Amino acid sequence: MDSAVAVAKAKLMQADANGMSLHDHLSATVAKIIAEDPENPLEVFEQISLAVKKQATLPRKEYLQTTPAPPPPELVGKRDLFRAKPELPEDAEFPNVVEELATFENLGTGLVRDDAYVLKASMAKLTADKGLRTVRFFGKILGTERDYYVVEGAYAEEPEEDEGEGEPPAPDPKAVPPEENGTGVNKFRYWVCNELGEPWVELPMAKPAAITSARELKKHFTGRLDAAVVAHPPFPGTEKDYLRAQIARILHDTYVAPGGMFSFEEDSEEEPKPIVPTEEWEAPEPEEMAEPSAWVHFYSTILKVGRVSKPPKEEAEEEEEEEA
Amino acid sequence: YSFLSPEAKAAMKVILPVLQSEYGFRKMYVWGKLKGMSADYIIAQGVTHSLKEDGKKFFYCLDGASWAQMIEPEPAVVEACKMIPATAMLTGDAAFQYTVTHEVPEGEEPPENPEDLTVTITEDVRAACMVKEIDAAIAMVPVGAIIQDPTLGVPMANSTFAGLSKQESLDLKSWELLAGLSASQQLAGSLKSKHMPAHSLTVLRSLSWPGFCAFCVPSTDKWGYIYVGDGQKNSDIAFSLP
Repeated sequence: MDSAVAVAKAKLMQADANGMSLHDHLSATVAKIIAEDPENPLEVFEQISLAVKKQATLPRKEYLQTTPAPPPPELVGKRDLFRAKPELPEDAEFPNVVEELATFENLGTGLVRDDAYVLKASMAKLTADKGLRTVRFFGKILGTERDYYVVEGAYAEEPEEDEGEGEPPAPDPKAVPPEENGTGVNKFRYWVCNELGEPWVELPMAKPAAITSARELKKHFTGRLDAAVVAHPPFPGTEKDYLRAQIARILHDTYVAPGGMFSFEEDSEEEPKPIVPTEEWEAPEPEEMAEPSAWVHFYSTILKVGRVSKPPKEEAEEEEEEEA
Repeated sequence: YSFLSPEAKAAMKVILPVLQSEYGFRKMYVWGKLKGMSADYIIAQGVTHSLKEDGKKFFYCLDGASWAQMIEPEPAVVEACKMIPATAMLTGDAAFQYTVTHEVPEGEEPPENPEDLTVTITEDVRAACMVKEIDAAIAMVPVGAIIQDPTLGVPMANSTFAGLSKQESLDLKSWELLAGLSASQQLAGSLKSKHMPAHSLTVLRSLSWPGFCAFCVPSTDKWGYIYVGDGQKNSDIAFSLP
């Protein structure tokens, strides 16, 4: 009898290619059942057996980690935001970010509730650091590696352009010149960051060539502003130019206001006339507002050449066609 | 980003459990949202055993309160749905009718009554087809979370599944489609994984089905998937990948 038991036990203890034997596996499985004490061990026996097999080949490494990992940089950035108390410039028009995002949340779109507070702190920091007069949350653009949060803002007065080191590159005489900062598609400046809490990076001004090229493209963003935009025909610029062009197109195509809420200031001598809120305008009933005809575009359409206003005319030139 | 208004969420917290006991489901999940032009459809699914089972049922509603069961589309209807042009967005009206005309196969005589070739599909049927298509094409669960139960013979949630570690959750090999195919076999670059420390969450986003997201809280048994989008596949993915 003893030898039969011994033979059977020896067979069970035969180690396979991985060094595990059936005997070891069975004792480990039974030990796990005793330790974890599941309600219906017979029912889940196979699952426990599988788990033991998996653990034998893949030890849970995270429990063995001795050196603590450094805190994730994005959380550190957010922590600093909550601690800082930036001073907004006196004439700054700072929106009620939390309230605006709560309105969107009630509609079933928009950012996660927590992000609203971080966004407010982040926008306040930007306004204080740059001395902006107006600032607005534009939106969030998803990317393959990282996402972008986009904020739109304007200075009270356009700052002087830095010459930087050496001469800026001479503009290509054949290219359509971009619109000046503060006008047309470049009326506002845009800042982006990958995670709220990171410093805001300003996007370059929108260039007509980038806008016309972006119309032909459908590309995912990576989340890196200096990433190449690989396309045919070649895109003039990197991801930050593509992002800026798309922002311009989105703004001019989708920013709408209730009809009649704004009008041109009649007495102004500026050309084009500035848009001001209409006095004594009453909001129509919600049923009327649900019709698309109750809304109007706030910004002009971008022309075919990639600007809102026609480029300055030169001597010999072909006709520019307006976008239909 | 959030996709359910607090009002819809509050309604669903109350109504879905009632629906669950009416149908006898073991569990109900929010599947996501199909976006339409004037309204969006919130979609939920109910299961008896697990997300991988054949008999799970889908439900849709517009406001979170009035739910209707989605039909199980027949193969002929699924074929007809595929003929609806991909650029046609859902309108938001469940009764909207799409008309699809079959082409006469070469060599065959056209039928006597030309109307025999046209098929009318209502939007709720189209939505049902979209949900099934997306579920079959990209819905993902962590490997080991649902396994075949040997006694019952159906896929069951693995009660000893302790979750994926953070490292594993970022690796595509730890995820599989409902039918069993590994996520690592999807088109290279079409699935992006990302860990969000602020929410202790790992998310996997699909670029071929924009709006699809599988997620898990590493080292716990919290996992799931969701789809919020217009229901269309990104057929330009070959061009749009950076």
